[in-house]
Parts: sequence; structure tokens; C-alpha cells
Amino acid sequence: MSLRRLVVIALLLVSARLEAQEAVASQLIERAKAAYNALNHPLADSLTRSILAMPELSTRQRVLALQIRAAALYPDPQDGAVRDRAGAVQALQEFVKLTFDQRIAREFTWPGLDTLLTQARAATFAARAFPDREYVLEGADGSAKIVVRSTRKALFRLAYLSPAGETIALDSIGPDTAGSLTIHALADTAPLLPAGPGEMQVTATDVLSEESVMQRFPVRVKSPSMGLVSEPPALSAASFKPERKKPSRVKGIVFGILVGGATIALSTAARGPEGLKDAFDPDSRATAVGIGLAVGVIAAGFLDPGQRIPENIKANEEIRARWSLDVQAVRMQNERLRASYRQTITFESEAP
Amino acid sequence: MRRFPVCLIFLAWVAPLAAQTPKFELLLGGLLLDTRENRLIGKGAAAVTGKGEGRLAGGELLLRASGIGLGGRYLVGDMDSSRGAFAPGRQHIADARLIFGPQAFGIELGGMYRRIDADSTERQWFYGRVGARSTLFIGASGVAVTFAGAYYPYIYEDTKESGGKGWEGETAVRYARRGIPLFIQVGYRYQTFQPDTKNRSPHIETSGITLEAGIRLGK
Repeated sequence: MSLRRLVVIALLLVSARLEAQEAVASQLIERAKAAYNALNHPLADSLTRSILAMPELSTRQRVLALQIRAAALYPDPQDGAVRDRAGAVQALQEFVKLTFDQRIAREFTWPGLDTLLTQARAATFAARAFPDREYVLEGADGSAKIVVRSTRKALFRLAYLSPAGETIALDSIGPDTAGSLTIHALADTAPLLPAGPGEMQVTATDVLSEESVMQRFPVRVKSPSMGLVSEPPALSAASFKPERKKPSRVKGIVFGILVGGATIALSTAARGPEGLKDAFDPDSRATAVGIGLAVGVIAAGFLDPGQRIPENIKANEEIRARWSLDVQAVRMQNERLRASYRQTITFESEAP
Repeated sequence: MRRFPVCLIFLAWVAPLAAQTPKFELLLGGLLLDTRENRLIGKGAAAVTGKGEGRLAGGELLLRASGIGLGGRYLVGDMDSSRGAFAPGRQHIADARLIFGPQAFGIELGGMYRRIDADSTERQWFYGRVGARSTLFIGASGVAVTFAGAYYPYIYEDTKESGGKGWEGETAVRYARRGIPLFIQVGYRYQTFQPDTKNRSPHIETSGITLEAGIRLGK
């Protein structure tokens, strides 16, 4: 027998078991409702206690059982004596946590129980998120908003949990009693959420009691690949031609020696008629000037940044311009892809 | 014959540099010459010597475009005797020249004027002047080296050819930062001449340190 077949059989068995349990719970709820209508409050209390202890109870069944239980414990005085006010308040607090602002069904309530519900609601921290069934996020700025409310000021956080267990924090607001949490389609350039199944978690934390309530919603994300084009790699030094020649060090040394030597020679070796040479000493300043000029020119050769090479500068400008155009074209293409991007997030029923 | 290979080497050196020199250049500067002058009058035992020194100030103008240019300078100042028979007085030096060739190596044709206003004498000379000037840049450092020399084939005293001859030599280093139209230049200048060889006119030898600064425009 193949593994796939085994998995299918297992799922069928689990499903059949769940359906059987739900059917049992439904029967018990019907019996509890009948007991309540028959003013048999102790039986209704007993049955709802059993129902609420069932582990696989659906939210709808739990809500119904809690209403019957509260009504049975705190009945209209015309129908019977109050049996357990504190127990009724406890049931109503749980009812508020599950339903937030739902009223008790007309068939179970009476003005006194409504008042008790109001008191229970005031003493209970409850928060709910109200996601749409489906969100379609379009374009780079596409976003989805989930309305959240609470009975007291709370901090709300929205996170996505992937099947692999990776958590992505999406948004947070508060402290407040109402607001909306936002899911953005893109983080920078890539889709924020991975395609496929996952779970959205909305957590509300009461700022006073620090009590937290978490709602978990299975979601399915349709997030097609954007097909973004990679930008050309940044230009490196190797991409360019040298824009300057090498420093004129040799030229500096040669011309330094030449100018220094020529200056000294002018006042000594190259002097005029013999008579003058015999009568006057050479101009002694020429040696100092010649050395000074030589040192200056040699230093200039070493400090020379090198002659500019106009053709290479022009070629490099063209390389930069071409690269810039390529980058611009890719960015425009990616911008178009982002603008036309479409992501769908489908919320399923809240997980128990 | 020995000088021929030297000239060839020099030309081989400066020819490629000529292409680097600017096509247009205007240079206008203030010039200061700290000068010393030696004079030898007569020959042998009867010769009389004198030495003077002083500071001359003036300006220089140079304009070049497409291998041709013109330039000139004018200096004036007082010179005092520092030794022997040197008549102190005011001196004027001026020259004007046409330049043929690029900055790296240009031939100069022109003239020079020199006048001495001493207490006892007033003399002025006009020189024919043939020379060469080479200005070579040290890469892109902003520094340029100048070598210049000129020969005086004819010297006239007042309006009459005196038959004298002489020459001058000059070196200089100029700095002009790229993008700033200013320059500064330091150099050395030597000149010797005998205005009238027939009549035993004096041998004159002048040397001086030049300092120049001004505006330089060029492409």
C-alpha cells in the first residue's frame, strides 16, 4: 500500500471521527436546549458542562452551549431561581471572548441576563479581527487592511506564519480599541508573503492587564513570481580606462637637473669676455637659485598627478552613460512589473 | 660638429612636447629684477672696473596663437655703485620680439633697448636680437620650465651701428594651477655685451634674479 493511500485513509478516518464528534455535540446541544425550554435548568447545566468539556467542539457549538449554560445558571425569576450567578458570569465572559459584541440569542435571554452580559463584557478583555474573505493586492503599493477591535485599549500585532514555521511580522498598531492592520504586497522589490498556504496571526494585548488574545486564520496566498530583471553590476575600476598618464617623475628629474645646471652655468661657465671673468667673481646667487629651481622642478615631477587623457575620459564617460541607461531601462521594466503585480490572499475560517 | 648630435637629441625631446603645449596663450605679468652689473672699461693695465646693483621693476606681455606670437618686456629702476668706477643712475631695459614655433621650442626675432641715465652720461643702445625659447611642462603639475637664449648680432648706439655684440641667457620655473588664471615665476637672467669693440667701449655683464607674477590665460 502506497504512502499516499495511507494518508488518504488516515484523513478520512480523522474526518469521520470529527464528524461523529460534531454530531454527538449537536445532539447534546439539542437536548440541553430542550431541557432549558422545559425549565429543567439543572439538566441543561449538566449537559452544557459536558458539551463544553468536549475537545473538538466547533466555535459555533461552543457559543451556543455557553448561551444555554448562562441562561440555565441565571434564569428569568419567573422560570426559576438563580442557581449560580458567578458561573453564569464566567460563561458570559467566555462568550464575550469568542463573539466580542454579539448579543445572546433571544430564545435564551431576558433583561437581567442582558445586564449581566453588559457587566461581563466590561470586565472582560476581548479583541477580534474581522478580515475580508479575500484580498486582491494590486501594484507595488497594493495593501490589505484587516479591521480589529477590542473591549479595552490594546496593542495589535499581525504576523504571518509559514508552513515551515517562519514568522514574518507584518504590522502593529495601538494602543487603541479599534483600527486596521495592513498587509503590503511587496517588501522592497519582492513579494512579502510566500505563495501557498500559511497562517495569519492577529494578537491583541491589553495594555492594562497585559492579557493577550490571539486569533489564527488559515490563509492561502497566490503570489506569482514578479520576474524582476537584475540590474547590471556596478562598474568597477577595471571597467574604465586610465584617465591620466603616469606622473612625470623622470621628466621632473631631467628638467630639474637641466634648469639647475643651466642657471649655475649662466653665471660661471657661460660668462662673457675674459677680462670680465678675471675682474669679477661669478654671481654667487646663481648657485642658490639654480638649486632652488632644480628642487622645485624635481618635486613637481613627483607631485605630478599625470596628464589627463581626453580620449580615455571621453570613453569612460560613454561607459558610464551606457551603464546608466542600462540601469534606467531595467528599473523602468521592473517598475512596470511591480505596477502590474497582483497578489491574492484568501482567508479561511478562524482556526479554533 | 659636436653640437649637432646634442641639437638632434634636444629636438627629439621637445618635438613630442610641442603637441602638449596650449594653442593659445596670453601672459601678462609684473616683473621684478634684482640685478648686479659689472663693467670693464678699457684693456690691460689701463682697464677700469666698476660694479653696481639695483632693482628694476616693470612688466611683461606675451601673446601666442597657432605657432606664432609676440612678446615684450619693459623694466626700469635705479642702480647704485657698489665698487669701483660705476656711474649710478636710472636704467631702462625693454625688448620686443616675434616668436615663431610652439611653446616647446620657438625662434625669437626682435630687438632690445637699453638706456642708462647717469649723472655725467646718458647712453642708449638698440640691439638686434635673435634667440630661441623653450617652455616645457612637467606633466600636469602646473610647473613649466623655461630655457631661453638670444644673440645680439648688431648693436646700435643711438641711431648709429656701434659694431658691438653680445648675448643673454635665461632660465625660469613657472607655476600656474590648472583652472586658475594666475601664475608665479622665478628665474635667473644673464646678459653680456660690448657695445663698441672698435673704440674700446665697456664690457658690460648683467645678472639678476627675476620674480614675476600675473595673469595667464590659455587653452
